[in-house]
Amino acid sequence: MCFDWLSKNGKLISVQRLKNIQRPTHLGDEGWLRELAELMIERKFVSWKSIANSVSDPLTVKESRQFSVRSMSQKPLSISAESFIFKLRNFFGMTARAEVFHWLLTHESGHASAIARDTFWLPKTVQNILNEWENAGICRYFICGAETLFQANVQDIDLEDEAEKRRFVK
Amino acid sequence: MKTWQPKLSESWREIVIQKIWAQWVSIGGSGAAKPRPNQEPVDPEALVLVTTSLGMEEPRLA
Repeated sequence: MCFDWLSKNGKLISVQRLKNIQRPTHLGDEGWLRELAELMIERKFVSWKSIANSVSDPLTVKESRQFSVRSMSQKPLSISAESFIFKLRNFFGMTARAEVFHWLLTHESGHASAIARDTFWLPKTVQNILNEWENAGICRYFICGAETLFQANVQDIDLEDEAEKRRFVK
Repeated sequence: MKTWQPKLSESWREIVIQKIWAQWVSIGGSGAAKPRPNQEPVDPEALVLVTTSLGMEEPRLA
């Protein structure tokens, strides 16, 4: 299932973010991850080289297993909530922007460092994105105690309003 | 006292595997089961990692 999906949709996975999650949490089996990385490299997903080089526990021949490829996986449906992150990645590219925007749409508000922690991107990267979007009016900030909290500026875009819809369609 | 622990552990493992399976299917993975609209966003990188953790115990996840 996993490799079959990755074979079809490998470009929708951020190898950088995968490493950002794996390093501090040690989530995942390193031997398996290395084997998966080598198979992805064979399929021309060269960014997986950094995974193959960074994990240190290659499987022995005995332990090694075959990932199954049935070529039956599909592209994620763009209309489903489960796949919404892929729509954002197709729009923003494979950068932190997709996760930060997703976070803003699914949370009331938050500090840049909390958003960075939740999304597994670097705090400075997230802060820069939020600053840019605040300048562009995509999000806004407010002070709460000693913290600066950011939230999406969605109330300015009421897509239920027919006039607003027409304005966006134009 | 301890007899329930293996059963609980096994039940918990099965629940987690079912959840992972459902998430793969919901984003287009090749599964016999139809995706159930649970409306929960999937974290694809975390899904890959947790699959490598549990996939050894559940070959169909590989």
